[in-house]
Amino acid sequence: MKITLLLILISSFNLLATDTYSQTAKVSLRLNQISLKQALKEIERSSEFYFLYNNELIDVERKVDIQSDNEQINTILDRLFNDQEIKYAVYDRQIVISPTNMPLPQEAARKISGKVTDSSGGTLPGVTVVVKGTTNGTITDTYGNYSLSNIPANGTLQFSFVGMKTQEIAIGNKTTINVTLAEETIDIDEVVAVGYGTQKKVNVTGAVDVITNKKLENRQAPTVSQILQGQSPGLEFSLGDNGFEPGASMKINIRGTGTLNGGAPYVIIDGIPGEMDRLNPNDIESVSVLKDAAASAIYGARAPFGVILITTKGGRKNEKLSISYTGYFTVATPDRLPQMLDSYTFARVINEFGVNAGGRTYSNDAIKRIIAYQNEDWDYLKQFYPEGTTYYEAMPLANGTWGANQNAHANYDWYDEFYGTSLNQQHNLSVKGGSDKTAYYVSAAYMDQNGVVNYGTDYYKRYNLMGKVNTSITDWLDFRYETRLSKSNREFPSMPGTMPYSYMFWQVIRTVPTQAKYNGTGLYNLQSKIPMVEDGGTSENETTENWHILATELRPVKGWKINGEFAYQSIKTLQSNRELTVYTDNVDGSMSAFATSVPSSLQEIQGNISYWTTNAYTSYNLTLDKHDILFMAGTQFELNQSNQLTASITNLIVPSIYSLKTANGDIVARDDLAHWSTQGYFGRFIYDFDKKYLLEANARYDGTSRFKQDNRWGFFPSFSLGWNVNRENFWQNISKYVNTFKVRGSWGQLGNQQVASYQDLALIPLQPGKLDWIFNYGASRPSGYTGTPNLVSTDLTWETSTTKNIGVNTSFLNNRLQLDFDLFERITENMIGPSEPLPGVLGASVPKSNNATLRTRGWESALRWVHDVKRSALSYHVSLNISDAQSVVLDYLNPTGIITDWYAGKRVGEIWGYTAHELFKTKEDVDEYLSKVDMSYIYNTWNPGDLKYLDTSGDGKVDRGTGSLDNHGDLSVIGNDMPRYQWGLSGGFDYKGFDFSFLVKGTAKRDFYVRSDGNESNYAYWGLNTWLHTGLTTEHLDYFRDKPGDEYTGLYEGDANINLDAFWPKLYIQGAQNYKNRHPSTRYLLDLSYIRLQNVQIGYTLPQSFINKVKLQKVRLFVSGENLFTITDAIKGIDPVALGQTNLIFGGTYRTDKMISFGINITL
Amino acid sequence: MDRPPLDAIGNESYWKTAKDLENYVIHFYPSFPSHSLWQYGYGYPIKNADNAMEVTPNIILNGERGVTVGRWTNEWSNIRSVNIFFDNYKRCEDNFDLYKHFLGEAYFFRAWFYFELVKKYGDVPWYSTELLPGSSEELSRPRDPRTAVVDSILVDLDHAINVLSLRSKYKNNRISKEAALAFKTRVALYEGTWQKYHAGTAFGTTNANPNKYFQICVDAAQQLMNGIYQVGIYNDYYKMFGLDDMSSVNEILLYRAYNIKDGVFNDVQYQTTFSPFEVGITWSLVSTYLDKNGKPYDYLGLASTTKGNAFLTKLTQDIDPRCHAAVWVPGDLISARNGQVFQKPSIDQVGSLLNPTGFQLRKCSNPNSPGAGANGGGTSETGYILFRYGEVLLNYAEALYELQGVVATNVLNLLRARAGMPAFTVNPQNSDPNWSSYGYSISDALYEIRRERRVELALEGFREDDYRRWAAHKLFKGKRPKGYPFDPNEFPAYHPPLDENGLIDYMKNTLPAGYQFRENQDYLSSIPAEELNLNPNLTQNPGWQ
Repeated sequence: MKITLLLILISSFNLLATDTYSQTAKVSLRLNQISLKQALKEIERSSEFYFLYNNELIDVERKVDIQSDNEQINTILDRLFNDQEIKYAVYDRQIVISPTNMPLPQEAARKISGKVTDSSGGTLPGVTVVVKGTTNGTITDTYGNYSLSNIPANGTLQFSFVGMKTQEIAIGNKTTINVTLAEETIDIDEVVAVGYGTQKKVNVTGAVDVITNKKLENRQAPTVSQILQGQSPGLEFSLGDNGFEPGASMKINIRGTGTLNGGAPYVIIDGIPGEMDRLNPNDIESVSVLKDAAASAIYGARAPFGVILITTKGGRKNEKLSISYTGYFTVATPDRLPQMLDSYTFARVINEFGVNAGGRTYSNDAIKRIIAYQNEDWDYLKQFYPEGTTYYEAMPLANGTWGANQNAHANYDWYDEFYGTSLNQQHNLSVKGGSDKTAYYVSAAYMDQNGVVNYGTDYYKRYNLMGKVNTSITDWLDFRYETRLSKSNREFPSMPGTMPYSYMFWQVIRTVPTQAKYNGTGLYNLQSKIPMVEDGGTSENETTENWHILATELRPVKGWKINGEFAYQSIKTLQSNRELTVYTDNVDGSMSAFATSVPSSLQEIQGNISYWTTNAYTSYNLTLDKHDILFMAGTQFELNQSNQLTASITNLIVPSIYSLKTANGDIVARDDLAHWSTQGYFGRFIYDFDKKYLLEANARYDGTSRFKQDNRWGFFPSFSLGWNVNRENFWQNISKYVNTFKVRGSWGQLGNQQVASYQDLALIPLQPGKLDWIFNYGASRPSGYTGTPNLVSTDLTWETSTTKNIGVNTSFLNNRLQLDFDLFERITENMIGPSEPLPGVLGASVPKSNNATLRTRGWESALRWVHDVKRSALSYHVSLNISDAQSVVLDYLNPTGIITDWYAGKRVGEIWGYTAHELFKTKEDVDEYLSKVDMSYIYNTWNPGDLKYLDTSGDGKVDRGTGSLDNHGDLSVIGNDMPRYQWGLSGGFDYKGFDFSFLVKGTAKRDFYVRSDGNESNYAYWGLNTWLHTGLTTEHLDYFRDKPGDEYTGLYEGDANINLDAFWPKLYIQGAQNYKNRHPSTRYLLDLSYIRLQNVQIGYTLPQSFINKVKLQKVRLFVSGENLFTITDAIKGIDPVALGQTNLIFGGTYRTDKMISFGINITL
Repeated sequence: MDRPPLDAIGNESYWKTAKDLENYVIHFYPSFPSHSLWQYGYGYPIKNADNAMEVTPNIILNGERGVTVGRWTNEWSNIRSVNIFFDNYKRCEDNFDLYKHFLGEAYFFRAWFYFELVKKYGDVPWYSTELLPGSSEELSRPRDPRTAVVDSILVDLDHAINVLSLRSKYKNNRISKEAALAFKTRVALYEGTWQKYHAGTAFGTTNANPNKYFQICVDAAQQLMNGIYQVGIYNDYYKMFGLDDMSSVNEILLYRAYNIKDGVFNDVQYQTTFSPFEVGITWSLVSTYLDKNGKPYDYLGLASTTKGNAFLTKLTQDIDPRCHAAVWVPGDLISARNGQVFQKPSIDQVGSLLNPTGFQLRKCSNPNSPGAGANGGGTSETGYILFRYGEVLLNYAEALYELQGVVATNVLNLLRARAGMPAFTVNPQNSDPNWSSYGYSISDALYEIRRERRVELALEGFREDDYRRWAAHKLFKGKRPKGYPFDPNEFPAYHPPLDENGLIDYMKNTLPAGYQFRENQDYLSSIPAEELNLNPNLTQNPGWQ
């Protein structure tokens, strides 16, 4: 189908050629010892000529040579046929070849003529019109007209054109035949990958969506998961705490939450389970998303929450060798970077918060220094510094150190300091081709993505190599060997202690503007966090994955196939975590170590995973008249063994040598060993009658080592039905308007084996780490001790999800408009949930049991418009996909109805909160309200500018009751933070060598509450918790102010400072005072819906005439932009996509980068 | 498909050797309290009593503590874990002598875990074997009277004392016979005084016999004092608490050690020498110290004339040196490394740098520690004392007096002598201008014994237990914690609230009526409500119903 589309584009081009084509066209070819047939094909391929000849009269298997360099066709053909009894005639682009003893077509008495149009009534030039079974033919002219002579009366005219359905019309006595050609439906014969085989899309009865490589190529996003965003309805994406770090993988959910215990789609690459983000995106041919149980039941307990089937590219038989190179350079900058307050504003604002409560932070003297610094009044500042000072940013302190925080008076926007641009690159080279027996594809890729942080080392590099050979040993035996190597390297700054990577971004947020970048001596001040990032060491992860896949297909008799697949994967991981001691200088020039960075340490982790799997399956396809039947049965085995060796040591002797040998602490080593295996038997039955009535049944019997013997095996069936209504007779009249109409329905069950192993065995945990106790002063902690065994669960088993799906696929307007719609319900039963609670004196958590139920209902729809405008060089396409899913807990053990836990009836994502609309404006407001409503449950003092929580229950107090469903006080469900109505809109056009495409994606509805826990809240959003836990940006200036300001306090001097209609509440230096205003409430419920321009690409393909001169097939230059803009209500600093869990509190994560790329595609 | 775990061992194959028992029992050591990292480096629990204050009123002292939410499963997990030891240790195939010390440690830990529960909840059910989800009868048992639980604790401790090795074998980072004896005096004194002073209230146990526990305390203390044990009194009171290496200190029977090189360290020096973290020592504690002659001192009289730094300096000249060991005075060396000295208390600072009272915590500081004066955390190895002989002497003196009305002067003088104070004498209560009522009358001698305990053990975390077992809420109820006499000349830009005597009265506005301790309720925590639902036989503690 991709080829078809390509030809449409090429032929659109050709229409511009003039009548004197044969004179102007120049052909360059170098072909040795190929058949004449092949030679003619090559000429057709590299030009617009078409040959007409009769196989039986011309010896087309004769081997010939062509050596032409920009020559006219006549010259070439003369040379080709000069010693042959062959003559030829050129009619514009059509060339008729015949033996010399046959007359060439002449104008004859019997003539026929007519006009060829397309369905919209436009004329179609270039259509081949042939008398069937002869070489007699022509092509239509610019106006779609043709005329043919020498017509036999009983003949049939055949009209063909690429991208159109071929039509045949009996000539009879007609002298004029006008024809309207119908476009070939783009996917009418499209074959989609389904589990253990392929199916024509028209016959598919499950919910399957296909994403083609067109949509995946030339994207600068580093990983496949990121590129899939917005491409298919029903796919949801989320990120971990590290956000869009270089090389970030996104977590994908198909059709919403599948289980409360977490589950991901099963990813199959070329028939074997794998990791999509280790692939080179340019190696992907297509991605099938199997959404319902009918489509994925063949994978049984491995795939309860959908399957993503990835098919990689391969060569085709009889395909000419081609070499493609794609490369691009990308400049990335952080998107939506907030702006910090300047230091003077910051100090006044902080002091105002201190006056509100907690005490002023910046003394008048400190503010004077801040002003002096801003005015570069070095003479004033010099008085505080010893001789020889070169930077006046941090005060020299009595204890001999350089001051930080309020003892510094610099002026930095740390967002600007830390974030800059990065230069990234990707290169892909692929070679493919094939003979009549063997096809091959080889590719290599390199990707280099760098973080946009200005300090430290932060990159992701990936190297991919892939090779694939398909060969037909005989016409009944095929063999495939595929190998893939993927190596990735990720290195990023280590954070002190065991702090995660996201800690770095949190530190940037909380570094206050007065913080010094340089100490008096010009070395970096510790509190600038620059030494931590620059000198604190790095973590380096290297993952090398090797795949070997052998597959064979045997076809003993027609319709019977036997497939065997064997795959071996080995993953080697090397992780090196280095934490180096960070030093800072004191006023007297001596150096001291930053305490939490002592001792320096090195941790080396080496891991190996070996994975074997075999698939063996056989199918038999029987076609009897209109009955089409397929049986398939097979089995799969998997074995996974992993081991990991971790060694760590402290006190590196030379900080730059990362070796266990060159450290003098004690080595602590541990290993982790694990293994699991599965075994499954599966079968499929498909029956279709006349492509009209479709029936499919799948079943799998699956076992896993993760469960106890008695609970190890599960049976998972599915059934689906389809009806191609448009093939019914009664549809004839409607088919003009509604070209296709298919109704599908399915039911199926799947299991979830993704639970921790050995929950049925009482194990004494062996703790190889160090005990947190020292038995002799000066000695190290002892390594190795044992822990408390858990209570075990003896009857844990599968979670089972049952999916029902109804769908329609329709197309209109000559298949240009396609609409797919699916409605589904998935019920996950036996979900692992809490057991009946037992008294706490038990002293252990009661083992979990299979007792919860979750229901997800939703729909997804895709609307596509594809149109090639035949008479011009324009083709364009637009498609929209949208989906929605909501999950609700039907059953969960929560007898007291605690609202913070799951309970029957709870929707996933529910946000409970208070109702609050406004802030108290005056002291009178506060007193008046407090006289009626007791808010002491939340906090005991209330001021103007605090949040007025409403007493919705009318009991005279604002509280959360017992926090249960029966008594939840003034709390109610105020929103839901699951994304709803996620959509993607993509489109593009090609015109005269230019191509343009775009992808916009968004979420139409999502509430969000930026969390506060205890006295911690995300101050990237809230502005601050306490002094030094601040993240004030210009987005926070609309805060409540009820006192006039002065030179040292307040945003503005005098009454101009008053701001009673503020958005943000009164802010304080005390966490508890701030936190009282941050309980989830309607006022600060965030609308996190967004629209993001994910990708725009503009390309230009150099004209063929130009390219031919340099012997290239294709050269395309393009500019691509990723994440170009985002429309959202969220303040800068909150990325609506990059929201992790931990960073919801701390506010720090790697946000989206805006990327602009310049690239080139060259095909040789 | 049968794939047993590769890196774990089944319960049935374990417990075969003495090493198995040891590897299991040592995992309880980390559950001992510790100094901490980052803020609040000072690990001794001092915030819930009247020796110290924070900037917001303490919720327990002020009667603001809410119900215990959630479950108490975690509080029982160590008890389950140690009971698993008792259920299995007899399967050990090694000679008893090889593993008896580990058995002793297990007894000690069970006693430790139960004592924590008793102090928090009072009556609790006693279990000596692992419970299983099926043992519904056991799971829903009512609470045992606290005296029965304490008796079981004391039995466990007797077992422990029988089989534990002497301190000389494993030194003082490991439980020893000495530590078990010291622990026994602590438990017995606690229960004896609790029953005596809560007698007749909802917190007392009917028919309890306080003297039984006093006798146990006295016996255990005497055993320790008169035996062949490695005990003693260290010569430098201030220095002892700031030591990194306490292994040669005979007074310290059990302590937790740190090792920066091995990645275990604390922030004690950070808190005591750099960031007070909003904690201040109260006037109430400081004014308890006797003068250098062992007589009550007129603190308010001094405060009326001498303020700020001068007040602090004068105290070091006039009163019990143990006060100076606890409170920073201008000129004190903070850091030997950079010669930094203490200038003035950081009462005008904000956040972590704030000391709200002017009496700034010095106990546990050590100018020679690498962390002294350092602007950053994780730099000290200051040990955390779990048991010291000084406490045993005080336990003994108090129990002996409660039992027989006899003052163990010779024992108390060991502490007095080390502090550089004159011999212990009893001052009449009416001669003390700082006298404070326990809410009931006690003899002058007992008043003086309790004073000695307060000053000797000041800021080591004993005060909370002490006021509870003495039912002594009257000491602070209705009062506000005060600071030192403020000198405005030293802080021209800072204007703290002051009381009528010119003392910093930090909570003057936020706590006008003083602490509102609910004496009918706050001596015990509430049993988590969910536990009451799960076990209808559980009863709620007084005041929480």
